[in-house]
Amino acid sequence: MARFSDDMLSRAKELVSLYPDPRSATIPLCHLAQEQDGYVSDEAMAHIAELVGSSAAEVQGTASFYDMLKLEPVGRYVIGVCTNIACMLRGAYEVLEDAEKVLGIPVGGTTEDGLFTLEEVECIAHCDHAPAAQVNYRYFGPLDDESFRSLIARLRDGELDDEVPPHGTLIRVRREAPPAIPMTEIDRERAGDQE
Amino acid sequence: MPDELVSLTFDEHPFQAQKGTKLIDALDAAGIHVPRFCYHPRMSAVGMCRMCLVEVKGPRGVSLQPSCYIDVADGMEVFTESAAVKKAQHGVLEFLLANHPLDCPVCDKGGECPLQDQAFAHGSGETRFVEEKRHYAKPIPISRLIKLDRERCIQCDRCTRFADEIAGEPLIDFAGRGGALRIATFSNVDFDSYFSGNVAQICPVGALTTTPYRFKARPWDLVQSASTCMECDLGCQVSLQSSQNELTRMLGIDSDAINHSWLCDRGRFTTSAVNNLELRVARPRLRDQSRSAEVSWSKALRAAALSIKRTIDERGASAVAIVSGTSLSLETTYAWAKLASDVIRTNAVDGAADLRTDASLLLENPASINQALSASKLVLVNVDPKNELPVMHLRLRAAIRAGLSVIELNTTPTELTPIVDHAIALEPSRLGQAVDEVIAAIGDQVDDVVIVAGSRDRGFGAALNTRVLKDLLERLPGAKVLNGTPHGANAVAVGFTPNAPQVIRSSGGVTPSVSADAIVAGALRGDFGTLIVLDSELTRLGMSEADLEVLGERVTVIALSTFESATTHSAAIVLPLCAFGEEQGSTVNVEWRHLRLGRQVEPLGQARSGWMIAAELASMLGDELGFLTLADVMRDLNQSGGLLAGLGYEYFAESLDGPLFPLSRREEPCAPRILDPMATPGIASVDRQGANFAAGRVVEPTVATGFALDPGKSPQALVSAERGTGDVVRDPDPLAEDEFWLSLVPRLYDVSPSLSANPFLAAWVRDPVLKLSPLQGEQLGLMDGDRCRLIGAATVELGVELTKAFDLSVRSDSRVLVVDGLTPATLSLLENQSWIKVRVEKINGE
Amino acid sequence: MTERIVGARLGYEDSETLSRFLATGGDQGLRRAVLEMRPEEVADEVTTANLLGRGGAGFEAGRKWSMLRKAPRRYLVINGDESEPATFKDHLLVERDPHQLVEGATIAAYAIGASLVVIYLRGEFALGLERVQQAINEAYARNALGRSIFGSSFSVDILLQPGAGAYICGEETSLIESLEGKRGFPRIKPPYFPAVIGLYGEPTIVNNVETVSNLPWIVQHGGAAFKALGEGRSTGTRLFALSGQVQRPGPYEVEMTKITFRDLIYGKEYGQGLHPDRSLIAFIPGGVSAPWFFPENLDIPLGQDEVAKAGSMLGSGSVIVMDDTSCPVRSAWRIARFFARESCGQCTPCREGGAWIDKILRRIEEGEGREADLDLLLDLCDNISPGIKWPPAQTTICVLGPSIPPSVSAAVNHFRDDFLVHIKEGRCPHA
Ligand SMILES: Cc1cc2nc3c(=O)[nH]c(=O)nc-3n(C[C@H](O)[C@H](O)[C@H](O)COP(=O)(O)O)c2cc1C
Ligand code: SF4
Ligand code: SF4
Ligand code: FES
Ligand code: FES
Repeated sequence: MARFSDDMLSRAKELVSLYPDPRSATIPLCHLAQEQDGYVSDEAMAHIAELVGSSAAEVQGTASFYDMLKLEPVGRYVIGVCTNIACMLRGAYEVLEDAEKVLGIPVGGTTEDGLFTLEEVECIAHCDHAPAAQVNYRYFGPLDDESFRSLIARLRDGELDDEVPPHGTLIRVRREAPPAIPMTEIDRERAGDQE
Repeated sequence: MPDELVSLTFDEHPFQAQKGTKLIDALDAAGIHVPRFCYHPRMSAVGMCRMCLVEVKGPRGVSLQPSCYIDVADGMEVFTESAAVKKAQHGVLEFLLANHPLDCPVCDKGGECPLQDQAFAHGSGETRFVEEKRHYAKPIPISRLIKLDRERCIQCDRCTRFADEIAGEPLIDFAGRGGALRIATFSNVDFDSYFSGNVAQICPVGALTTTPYRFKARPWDLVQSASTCMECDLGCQVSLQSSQNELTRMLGIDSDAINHSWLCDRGRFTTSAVNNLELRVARPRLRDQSRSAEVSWSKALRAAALSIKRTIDERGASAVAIVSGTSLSLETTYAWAKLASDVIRTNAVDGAADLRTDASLLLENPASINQALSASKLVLVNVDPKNELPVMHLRLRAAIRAGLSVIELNTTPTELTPIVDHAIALEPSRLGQAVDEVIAAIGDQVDDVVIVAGSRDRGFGAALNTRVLKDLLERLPGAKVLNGTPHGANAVAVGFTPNAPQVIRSSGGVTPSVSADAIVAGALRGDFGTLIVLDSELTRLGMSEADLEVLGERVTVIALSTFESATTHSAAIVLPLCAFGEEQGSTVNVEWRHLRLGRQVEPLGQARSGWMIAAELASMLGDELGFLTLADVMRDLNQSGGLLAGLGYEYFAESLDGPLFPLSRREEPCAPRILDPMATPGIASVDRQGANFAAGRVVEPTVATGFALDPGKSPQALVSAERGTGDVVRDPDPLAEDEFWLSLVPRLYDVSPSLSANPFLAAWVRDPVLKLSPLQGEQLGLMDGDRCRLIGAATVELGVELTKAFDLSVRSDSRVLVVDGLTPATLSLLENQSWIKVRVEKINGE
Repeated sequence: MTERIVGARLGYEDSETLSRFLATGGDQGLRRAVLEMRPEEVADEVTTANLLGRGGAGFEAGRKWSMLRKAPRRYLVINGDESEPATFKDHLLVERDPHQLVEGATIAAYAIGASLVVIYLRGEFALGLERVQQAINEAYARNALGRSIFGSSFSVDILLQPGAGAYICGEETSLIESLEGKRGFPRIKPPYFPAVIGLYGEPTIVNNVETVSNLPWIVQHGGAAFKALGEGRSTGTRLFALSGQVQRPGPYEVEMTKITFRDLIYGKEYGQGLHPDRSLIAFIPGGVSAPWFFPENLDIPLGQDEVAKAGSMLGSGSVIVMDDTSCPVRSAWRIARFFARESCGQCTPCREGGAWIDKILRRIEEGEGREADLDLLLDLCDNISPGIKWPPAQTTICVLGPSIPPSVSAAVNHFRDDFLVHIKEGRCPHA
């Protein structure tokens, strides 16, 4: 939708300043864009390209490689049902089928009210709670048709608002640290070490 | 170190190779061909396609390794024929074909496709893949010139590597991941690059094709010959291909000395202009009052000779002027030089209108391109390689990446500015200082300095330009010079421009001494009786269209031209010239290397070679040049004793690239020509075809009755405004508060007859702009997209473009305003030959 | 559970808090390291401990550090991209003991003289990312990070980098590319061994989350104490992730080599066996890249060399259990499909072969198989990983491609009859 707002831009610049090479901030900035708009828009990619010194095609090349970075708008809640081996062995495909029914959308679809997008995802490292699912990368499980329905209901009712922010907001804890130690300073310190 | 050899075995036979060589190159050298797709000898290896796997014995046993990626090592044992190798290669090929569409019959690459060839040679012929193939929309244009068919793509990373690594314009990149990995441009940003055609040439399949060539021909119908691109004087080596007497395409040949297989789009797609019959001059014609009528050659020639003769008789030989600003073949240039000097005997001759430096300085201690790129320090003086010698820009980028140290001395930043070691501003008020800064930047690395001497900035006149070069050479006595002016090398080589050493040996010949600018100015004043324009457009030489209208009243204009232009429309006599690819011959490039020009198609209509026209005019004027065939011209040059002494076609039989001149120049050992056997299959065979040079048919000139010249008359000097030699140049007067110096720089796609005639490139011509750094914009109260009025010798309205890149490289106190783009209008801002002061006014919108 | 090292705090509800961390020995290893030991001494303890990397390859951490190219700048990257199916130990450690991770990373940075540390966590670990960021912030606040740590002359920053959803970025060179802002294409080794040419071309150590989480304990208790646990090359404890069709899936920290797979799957303190009416048909000992094991392999001890000797690997430490209600065709397909989806796409055999195998297996599972498909599957596997042997050979750049054949060949070879039933009956008998 948009380039970074002023507030986001100052966060973006702060991120860029952390790295020895600005381009390293590409993925964090994509997450930031997603926090702002729910997805990574063309305008945001062009803006990121300016900030990190790549071409927009390169930012797009990076962003499109990663599953979490959505280049098209998605629902407020992106539900990822894991169907990988550990979950599959414990009934994941049944959960997925049920999810399609409950939400009334196929995998990859978004509900008309823009609330939910349904995805089938690979293992989310929650296999001891299989079958598992994630909502905006917050984990739930083990699931069956009943607990899945109730999860959807609680999301709809806003009961999980604290736990599950809208899609795109990933890390709500901001870095609190002194400005990055300049590499040159570290270089001097390490050079001293070696003598 | 670089000469260190390692010993290794290929299939149990001992071989030696230079340390640091890629295994695949060593195998090629040993005559062992390993199949490959992603490897390109002029780009870094990525090892992605896995087609080139061979077995290598290492400390932990034998393993499959990509031969394109690993270097040879001492004691290495390599197996290329083992069962494991064959199985792996076969497997990779089958995987590549799994999702590949079966549309070879309609694919442009069909018949010259490495994937198809591999499949025929090694595939089982029967597919085990019964699943549904991947689907993509096809084909999608990624620029006006390039189309992409993603289904055919084999993800070899060649196109993207080219864009990023070679061109420095990563406008295409992969998108997605795994099976969905695909080539993409960003949203609405096209792959608009001066070099976009190269990706189609190096794509090993039919995924990238050029719009001009799409469905034009089948490879087996193509015939080709080796030639040299004439769009600039870099001399890129090409395979010129045609089908049924129509030029179909041009591919870059990998000349180690010159273009490393790359071409710019302007060169690559010239064939489309040649084929645009509507804008070609096909027949001679004469203008009578306001009407122009086609006539026979003999009638046209007689009229031309009559005009020349009348001028000589009435006003003296020097009232006949000859100008050219484009690159004519060496033979044509020489024939006209001889005609001018020995027959017409005029000094008002300049075949290198773009040259704005003292030609003799270019020849004193010339450098080759490769010497320039391996110099201890390379100094770029008033040259913008990307816009003037485009492939030189690519070679410079590669050399800089490999460690070349470059000092740039320009009035206006270029695209190299961000990556050179020192960018020094040329400004009228600080010329001496700029030279000092160059010397300081060179420091004590004075041994191997090369200067590329250009003529880029039209605002920076010939006198100052020459002076800077002279100053530099005085301070750097050992420095070599590489010519950096995009056109006119042949004219310099044969002495067809003022100040160039003369090679025409007939005693009593007349030496050119009037520069093109002076000729143009003189013509407008009516100083000449006859003005001969050789394949050039007068509006590109500083005349306005209004000037052209009145010009005819003062002087008889004889235009020899390939394309229609404002000049041909107003000229009294128009003679059709052969286009590129329609005549055989040769040329020299910026490093004075002799290169061939191939003939692939019959000349259009009654078009003739320029040298023949010169010969015929000579005989009509009662004299003889002695040229019946190309070989006659060559023999003359061979014996000329000047720069080109020893010239001949026989060199072409030995190697594709001709020798450097003068022949006494020791040629640096040239690496053998590197071929990319993928993607350019036609090109390997050019080597063989090239040897047949000069076997082409030569049209005999028609003999016509001539006029006898009065031999007793000696030429009388009329005008003598020589090209500035720099001795008498004063520092410019200081600027008033609201004044700026004008910098007027060319772009690759500045309007010209051949560009206008090119249906695929004409759209690239953009209006000139006033280019400012954001800071300058602020100071002048101008924003991006504003319009302004620039007041110099004339007043011109221009759009404003703010360029961030300028902020980095334009000095904050700079008093130079940059106008990007040469048009008749922007050229009219100039006056004479030195810096011009301009003022700028914002045009307020309604 | 014999001995707890990395999981020592997991018994506490509030294990992720700073107060619990400090109350249970937190910071002591780091203090000791930066205040009392020289970097080489720390490295020596790790070498003595014979700490094997916990990321999958099982390379000795001490040896890896000693191979770091000498250069003024060197980087430490902590690999927390954990995406190998059925692996969830790092997830647990970052969520439940983030301070231990930060302490361990700082110790490693000190030992190798890193100029900068980046903790690269899987992007989907939203909670873990928040907790590790919190732990980093708190470390800065108490001077356990930043300039002059705990008053010593050692300074270093730690950055937290979220991934964005791509399994391949767990591969160390791909991770580095990703960290440089690019798509995660693995680099070719040689020459791109991170310890030689890593992040920004500088020498770089990549260590797994669990690997460095062991460091505070090792520094505190000494390498010898660590080595005293386990046997042979397999020292210390490991966090195993047990999943699939067992009664009690979960993470279990066990002393290396001291228990067998049978103990882990059936033991009372561990998996507690299968569903009462079902029997084991196969299990995967070390993540889906590993060759499968069958009931006859149950008595192999959980040790690196022991498993290797039997033709598989402990890999990422995840054990997946399949009972007789599961369909081996389906399991093999789901694993193949995972790799097909996660291939970075640069090598032809992995990109095309993976997708092809995925399609064939799915076709068979859906009842559209042909008998010829079985040989075709094995031959395609052979073209990705010649010989389909263990450890695998490869026609690819990284080992993601060669991770496809083990499951496919195990299923085709061991459960051929199941395949034939699918093909003959035109349906999955287990559906
Ligand atoms: C396809 C692939 C995926 C990998 N994923 C991970 C991972 O998620 N986490 C991890 O620590 N190592 C992973 N690795 C192993 C790393 O490349 C590397 O060996 C490891 O991070 C080194 O840390 P260690 O020595 O502490 O084990 C993976 C390797 C491959 C080939
Ligand atoms: S489009 Fe052609 S050159 Fe580019 S990656 Fe695909 S096959 Fe290679
Ligand atoms: S094996 Fe697969 S994942 Fe690994 S580099 Fe090759 S294509 Fe990428
Ligand atoms: S397999 Fe589903 S969370 Fe691991
Ligand atoms: S991997 Fe060597 S040519 Fe492609």
